[in-house]
Formats: sequence, C-alpha cells, structure tokens
Amino acid sequence: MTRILVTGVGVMSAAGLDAGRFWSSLISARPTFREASGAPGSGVLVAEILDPEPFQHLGVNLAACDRSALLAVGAAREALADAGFSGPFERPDRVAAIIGCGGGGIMSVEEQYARRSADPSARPHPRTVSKVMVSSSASWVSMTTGARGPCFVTSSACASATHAIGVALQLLRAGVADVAIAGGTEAPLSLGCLNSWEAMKIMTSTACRPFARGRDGLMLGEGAGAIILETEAHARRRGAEAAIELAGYGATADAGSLLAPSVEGMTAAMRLAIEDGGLDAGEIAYVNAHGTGTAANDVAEAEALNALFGAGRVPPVSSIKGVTGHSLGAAGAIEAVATVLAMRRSVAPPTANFDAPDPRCDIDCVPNVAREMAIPAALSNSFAFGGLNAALAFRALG
Amino acid sequence: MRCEGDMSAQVEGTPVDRDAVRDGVIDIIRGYAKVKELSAATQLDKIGVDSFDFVEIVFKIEEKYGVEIDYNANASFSDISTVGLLADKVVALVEAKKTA
Repeated sequence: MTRILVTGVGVMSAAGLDAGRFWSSLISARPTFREASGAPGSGVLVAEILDPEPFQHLGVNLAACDRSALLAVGAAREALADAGFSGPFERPDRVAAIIGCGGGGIMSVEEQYARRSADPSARPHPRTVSKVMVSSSASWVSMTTGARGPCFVTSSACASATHAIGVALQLLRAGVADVAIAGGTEAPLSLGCLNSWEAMKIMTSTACRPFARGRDGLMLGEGAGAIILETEAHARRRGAEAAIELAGYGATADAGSLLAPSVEGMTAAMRLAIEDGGLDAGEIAYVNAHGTGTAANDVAEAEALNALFGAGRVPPVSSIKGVTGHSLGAAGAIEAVATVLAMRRSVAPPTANFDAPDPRCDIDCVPNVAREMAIPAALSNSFAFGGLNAALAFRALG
Repeated sequence: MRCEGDMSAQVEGTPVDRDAVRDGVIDIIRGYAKVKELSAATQLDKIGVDSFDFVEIVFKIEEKYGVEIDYNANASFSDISTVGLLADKVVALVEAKKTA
C-alpha cells in the first residue's frame, strides 16, 4: 500500500499561533485560559485567541470570512510552508482540502441574531449564508491555497478533524489526490454557544484537569490545526523532508447513547487504527488522548486504553486540553499536530493542571512535566458526542 | 424589510443634501472598486468587483440611507449603468422617503 507521509504541520491556538509557540506552551503546561471575552462576568473559562494580528495578514476579506475559516486558513498556510510548498501547486487538481468543523460559522450566525435581537428591523448581512455554511472553511482553504482537488468539510462534533484527516488518508491511498491539506477548525466562543455548553453542566470552574482526581469538567477553546499529507512518491519527487507517516485510521460508531461514551467503541476505533497501519499495539509508544477533563470521558478512555493494551502495558498517555481547551471540531487536528511534534522532538507533552491521580483512570498520563522519550509510533484519539470514535496511528520512518 | 439606516445627515424638515448623498454613495463604491479612477461616469460593470461584492455595495448603501434599492443579483440594473446613475437613484429614494 502507498505510504502517506506527514510533510508539514500548522496550528492556530490560544496555546500558540504557530507550531513553535504552540509546542513551547504544551511542554511547559502553560495555562492559557481566562474568562471568555464573549461572556463577561460569567466566569466561564476558555482558551481564546486574543491577538487580532494573525488575521490581518492572511490575504482574505475579513468581512467575508467567519472566524472558523480564518483560523483554518492560518493553520493551512503554516502547514504548507512547513512542508516546503511555495507558489502554485504543480498539479492543483491533485491537491485535496479536507477540513473538520463541528459547528460552522457559529459566531457569524450569532452575530446576526444579536443584531436582529437589538433591532427587529435590522437585516442580516448579505454574506451571512456564505459565512455560516459549515463547508465555508474548506472553501477558504482551497481559495487561499489554490488546491483544486476534492474539497469538503467533515462534521462529526468533536471527532470532525480526526475524521477529516482519516478520510484524507483514504483519498490519497485510493489515488484520488497526491497531496491533502487535512485538518480541523472551530470558533465556538460566542455567548450563545458558551451558554449552551454551560447548560450541560460539564464545564470546569477551575481549570481543565484531564485524568486528575480533582477534574471538574471541560474548558472550551478555539483554534485550528492542519497537516499536509502526501503520497511517498510525490514527497520524494519534490525532495520533501518527512520523518513520519500517517499509518492508520480507525473509526467506529457506538449506535448507542448520544452523550455517554462507550469503552467498547473507543477501544475498537483505536484497534482499527493500529491494524490499518500494520502495527502491533506493543509498538505504540505514546497516546495523545481525547482527555476532555470530564468525569465520564476520562474514565471511559482510561478503561478503553487498558482494554486495548492490557493492564500495566498502556504506554504514556497525555491530554493537551488543559492548555489548548477543547476546540471541538478542531481538536483532532490540533492534537494530531501535537502528536507529530512529539514524535519529531522525542518528547511527550504533559497533561497540565494535574492535581492527584484518580484511581479510576489507571494510566500514566505524563502529569504536568514533559517527558523525553523516543516515540516510534503513536495514536491520537477523538471521541465525539453522538457516539463517534476516531483514531489516527502515526509511525516514524525508519 | 424595513431599515432606518444612518439618517444623521438627513435631519427631519431639511432638504436632502443631494451632493452629500451622491458623494456618500460613490465613496461606498470606491471602497470596493478595483479601478484606479472612479467617477460618476464610470460604468458599474467596469469597477472590477464580483457580483457578490456588488450585493454588499447595495446592502451598505441601503443601510446607510435607510432605503431599499430594487435590485436582484440575478439580473443587471435595466436603467442604471453608471456610478452616477446609481447615486442619482439613491438621492431620489432618499427624497421620496422624506416626502412619504
């Protein structure tokens, strides 16, 4: 089977507006959260990008573009530069752009509702539809990069980006494209969206503490991540440097509860990714967990890891959501970027804000301090509401 | 749909400042136009904007002057071919609104 290489990564997150700064925040477990600017006085903690500067140089009409699309464009641009692409693609029709996004133009639709609410005679802006449509971010990535191959958004809540990257892998293997800009984006920090999440009573009031005894919920974040996937032949032909391949992808649906996680479904997705990559579970040296910091997810994920690897044989596992927040449809891409960086740099990023072990989460979650270790193969997990499970398996090239 | 717009320049009881409205309309178009020179005589189909930019121009004018321009993006204006004619149309709409 054709090997699919990871030739570039890019990220925009409260943890950092490029891969270098992002990585530095991750390994120092630097807190990024603060009260949401969209909900002043609420005490709702989020990981929010406050610097407007990165949006000024994207070369797009800012008024025509939802924040989720801007974030995607920024991450895609960095990933292409990291992969050594500059100028027009040789075969634009062979470059795919597959982006995961859970909610689409959440901020734009809410902005228009707010206008209407303040003044019932106010009319929506004529660009509202094109900003709100959930596929907008993939279109903007295509328009700003010149990618003319298959282009669409996958939307599967918090697994959106992992599904996007997995589908991109399959497209490349199938020979539909040579290169894919694959990733995810989400800009969910509007008042209505924050209030809706609060209504579920699963938000932290202190800090996101995945797998820790003191965890009290998740923290929303915004951001985007992108990775450049490329067939080995294409990458070699243009002399691209690549040390890592996306070896496998696994996805399952629980066909059960809309909200409750399923240990069985999680385990199956991880197992499928490992098998799809031609790996043995014993080769996986690190797992970048979904690890949301909720009571339910973290216990289920720890149980699934133990079921897959066997008790006492689970490799180091960490969740970066204590730093990045949970950026929903973008999370899988941001975490795929973190996984690739961890493999490139031979360092497992820590799980931040860890106070004390929870005996129900029987894993080594690399608490608070980054760990130097060789990572020849790794998993990156995403588990979404709706019972949607997806996992990616990465392998270092020998 | 009704829209009041920014009527600060059109105080009740005073005549419409036609030049101000004309200049305001041309300024809005200039904000989108991709041509160096833009005047009342410039053809609307030569200002270098795509059809959706033009919808946005119409929207901005409508919002600013609280009028509704009879325009459908599926068809060109039948009677308005230049920047100046569009500005005149807006002046007429503002005046009609004042006397309504």
